[in-house]
Amino acid sequence: MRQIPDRVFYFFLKRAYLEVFLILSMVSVAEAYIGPGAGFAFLSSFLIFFLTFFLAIFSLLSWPFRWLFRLLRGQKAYQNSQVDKVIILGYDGFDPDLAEKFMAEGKLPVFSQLKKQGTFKKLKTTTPAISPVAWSSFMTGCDPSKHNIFDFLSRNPKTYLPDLSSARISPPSKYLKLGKHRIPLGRPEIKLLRKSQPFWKILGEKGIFSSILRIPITFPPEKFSGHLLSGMCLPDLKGSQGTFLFYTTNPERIKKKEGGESLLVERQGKMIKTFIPGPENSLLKKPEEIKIPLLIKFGDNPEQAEIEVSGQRFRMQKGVFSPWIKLSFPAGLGVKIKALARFYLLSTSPHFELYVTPLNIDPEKPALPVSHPFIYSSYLAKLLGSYATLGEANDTWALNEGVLPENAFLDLAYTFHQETEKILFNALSKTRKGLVACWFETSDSLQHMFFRYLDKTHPACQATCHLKDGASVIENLYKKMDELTGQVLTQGDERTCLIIMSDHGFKSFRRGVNLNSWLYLNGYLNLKDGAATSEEWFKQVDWTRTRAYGLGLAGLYINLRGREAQGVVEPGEEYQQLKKELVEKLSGLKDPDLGTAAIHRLVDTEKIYHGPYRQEAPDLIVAYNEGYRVSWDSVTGRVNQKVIEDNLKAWSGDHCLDPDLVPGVFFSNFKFDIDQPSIMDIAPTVLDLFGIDRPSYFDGQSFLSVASPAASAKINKNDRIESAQKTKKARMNGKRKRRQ
Amino acid sequence: MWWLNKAVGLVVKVLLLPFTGINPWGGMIFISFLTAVLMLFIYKKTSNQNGIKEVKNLIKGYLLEIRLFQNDFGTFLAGLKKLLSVNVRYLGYNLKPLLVMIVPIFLLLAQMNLWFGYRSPQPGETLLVKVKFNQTVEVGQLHAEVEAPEGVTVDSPPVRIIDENEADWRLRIIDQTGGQLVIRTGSERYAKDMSLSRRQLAKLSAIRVNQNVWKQLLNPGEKPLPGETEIKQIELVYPEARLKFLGLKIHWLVAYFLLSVIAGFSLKGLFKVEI
Repeated sequence: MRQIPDRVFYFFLKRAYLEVFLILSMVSVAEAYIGPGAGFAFLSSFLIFFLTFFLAIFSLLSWPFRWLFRLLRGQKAYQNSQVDKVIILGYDGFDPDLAEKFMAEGKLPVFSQLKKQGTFKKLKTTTPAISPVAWSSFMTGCDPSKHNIFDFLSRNPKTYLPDLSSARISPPSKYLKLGKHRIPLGRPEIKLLRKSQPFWKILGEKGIFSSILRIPITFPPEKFSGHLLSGMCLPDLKGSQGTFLFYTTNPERIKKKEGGESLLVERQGKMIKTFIPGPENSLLKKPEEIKIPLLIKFGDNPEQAEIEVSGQRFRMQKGVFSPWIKLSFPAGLGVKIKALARFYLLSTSPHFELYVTPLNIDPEKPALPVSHPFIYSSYLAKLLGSYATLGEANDTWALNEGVLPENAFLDLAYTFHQETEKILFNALSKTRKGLVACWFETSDSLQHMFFRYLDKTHPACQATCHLKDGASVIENLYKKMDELTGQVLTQGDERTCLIIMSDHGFKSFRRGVNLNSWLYLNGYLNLKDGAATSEEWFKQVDWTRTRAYGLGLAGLYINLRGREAQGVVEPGEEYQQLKKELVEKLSGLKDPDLGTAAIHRLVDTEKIYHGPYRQEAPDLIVAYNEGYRVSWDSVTGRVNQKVIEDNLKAWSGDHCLDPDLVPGVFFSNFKFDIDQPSIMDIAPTVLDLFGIDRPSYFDGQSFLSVASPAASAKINKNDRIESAQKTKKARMNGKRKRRQ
Repeated sequence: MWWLNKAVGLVVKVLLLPFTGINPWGGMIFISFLTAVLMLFIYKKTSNQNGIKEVKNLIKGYLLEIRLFQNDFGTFLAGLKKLLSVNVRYLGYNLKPLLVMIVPIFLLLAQMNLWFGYRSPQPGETLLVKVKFNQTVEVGQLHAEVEAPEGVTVDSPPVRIIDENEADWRLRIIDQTGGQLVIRTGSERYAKDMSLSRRQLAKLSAIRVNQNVWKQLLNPGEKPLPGETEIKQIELVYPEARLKFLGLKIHWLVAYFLLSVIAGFSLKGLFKVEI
């Protein structure tokens, strides 16, 4: 064992000497040219050669020790494993009914073959059927009361205001004051609020490597044995979940934009001087927004403009996205905060209009940790180019608010999709054994925004359906995912288990239910004297006379004494009675205009949740009927006179309804004999496939424990599935031939 | 060639003139900074900046890959291979700017050697004058004399080195007036500049060469000897100069290399040059 490394060591040592000799022998040449340009480049190049050999030698020498260390830690990875590799592709919102429809029409050949020779099932989602909740259950194998994620938003019982449910960023507690600046003595605290542990952490403890890419609720990234790139809920540089910028010279287009900021600019001759508002400067005693100058110049071509920002100059063509532009926000004291953005010139005349994506954290030099290890995001950027880091990069709000045209939105979404694909294939090529899990946002955001084209009766269709081939957007999306699945299958073999899954399905969102308005009109929520509406975030709500309120996409809270700051409902009998009353009144709530039930049922969380964080859950979860969802106003705590109204936004498909109506999908190249798989079953199944026991606190069950022995199947390079038996037979024949 | 050398020499002289009365570091820092700017400009214009940027990113990427996948030996080795291959591409991108820059840098370095390579000998010090003759001349039979300028004496009779076809004299400095040194062989007279200076930074031409182009490039301080002469070159062996820094004596080339690289590195961001 010792001789081999020694020999290799001396080989590399000799090579190193050779390199030194080469450099020394080049001194006379170097004298002919020594300067800052190529000389410096040559110097760096030789440094890289040295570093490479140093790394090689170091790695070779330390290899036996690392191997011994793993052995001593008792890691017997893959000893009982039934697979070498598990690939999980999370197609957010991939709907089983639509998948079946397109499969029946012969449009999804790869999925059809998986269904035929592997497994295809509807995947039971969580209550509520919301992505952060479902993905947290996917990774922890537990119901929401064990991982503490019940919605995108959680409510602060002291203020009745919403907080992001998944992470909290707090500034450093101590500062050193220096003039107008203050130097933080310590790092800001970034706390992950999701509890329990993801199953890849358990895999890592057993010596199984994982690459976890963009899976939701992984910000801030946790330490484990593998690589992770954070996904959904990772903020932009301003700390929001995505704030786009919209510049216009048209005062009529300036109004408050949800998810964005509008800036009125003035044309001065052939240019516009404005700025990009960046993050808040926390190095100042009185923090203020950092702004960087943005100069837009116009030439003779009305279809073009030239943009100068952050020391860069680039030409914009109307209707074409710029590549990622690196922006640098100076915070003072030599600190620069790096961001990425893409620009889109909407028009130059009669009015100038420009869209800028939310300021993504630059993965090369991240202002916040976006990956584990920290260098992983930088590695991907160096190797594959800049990419979106924002948790939900597809800017649905820009389309919803009428800033971005539909084709531009599609263009942007598919560019981000390609970036994720590149990252996935890089991980697949580097992971010979272990787990690769990757999440795709496109399937979710495109269905949210283009479902109206599938539903001719959708109220938003007339006003917002402008795309000629709009009806094929979702079909093309499913085809694209089918194609991607086929490409991924070619990366595996018979010891690779591929799982394609979604967190929920999709249904049309035609009508919005303002839960808070219903509570107000039925006397459960009261406004301050003289107020006709509550304004945003319950501003005019009189909490001393309010017994219940709705917050988030599905939650209904009781204003409970001792828990809420101004709680009025007594715990115990009164609390239980109120819940019962609300369940009775709201279940089957009729839409007065259509006569159909808008709300299917209400779920008392006390009855379904038993984990340690059930106290943090809403008291009741509203399970809406097909075609309905909580209204836009209700989500943001606005109370008015209208309970149910048409949804007139492009955001026309949704899944925040009764979880039974929106199951996800489960496809695999392995044949699992299962009836009603749940999203919580994935984690124990993967552990089982790798030969690791299911932790007792898991709520999900392994498919293997209820399944017939896994019969593996694979797809060859022609995307043709061969059964495991065929493969096995071929192998046996090969062996026989060799023996003969 | 002489005119080119003269022109470049004039430029360098103008640039260094303000620094002749002060410590040579002043001139060295100034010229290093100036050439860094010039070379950055040339490098930017002659190199494939996008290609270099891309390749540098790949190099950094593969370095990180080696670090990230150190436990997977196969991926680790593949990373090493890719890193080396990308590094070769990086070197390839530097060839074109190197070829372009080598011309001005070569001319400049030859001139700088005149200013920073030697120091003027002090009164009382001795130095050799070496005269190399053509193969047609028999040095052993040759009658040659040296006429020293004012303030310099010829300290020894000529020493003839037959194998090298060379005759050497030792000169002694009385004072630092300087002037022209003359070698007389029969009726022929060959002059050699022997500037001596009290200034800390002065131009000293050590060698006067014949019409050989390569030698002229390397020794640009004086007009070359006429074409049909019996002398190949006249060399004054001045003491070598060193730049002093914290007790260290540094060769000017090393100082220039370090300073110009530091200046280039510091200014590359300002000039937006990808090196």
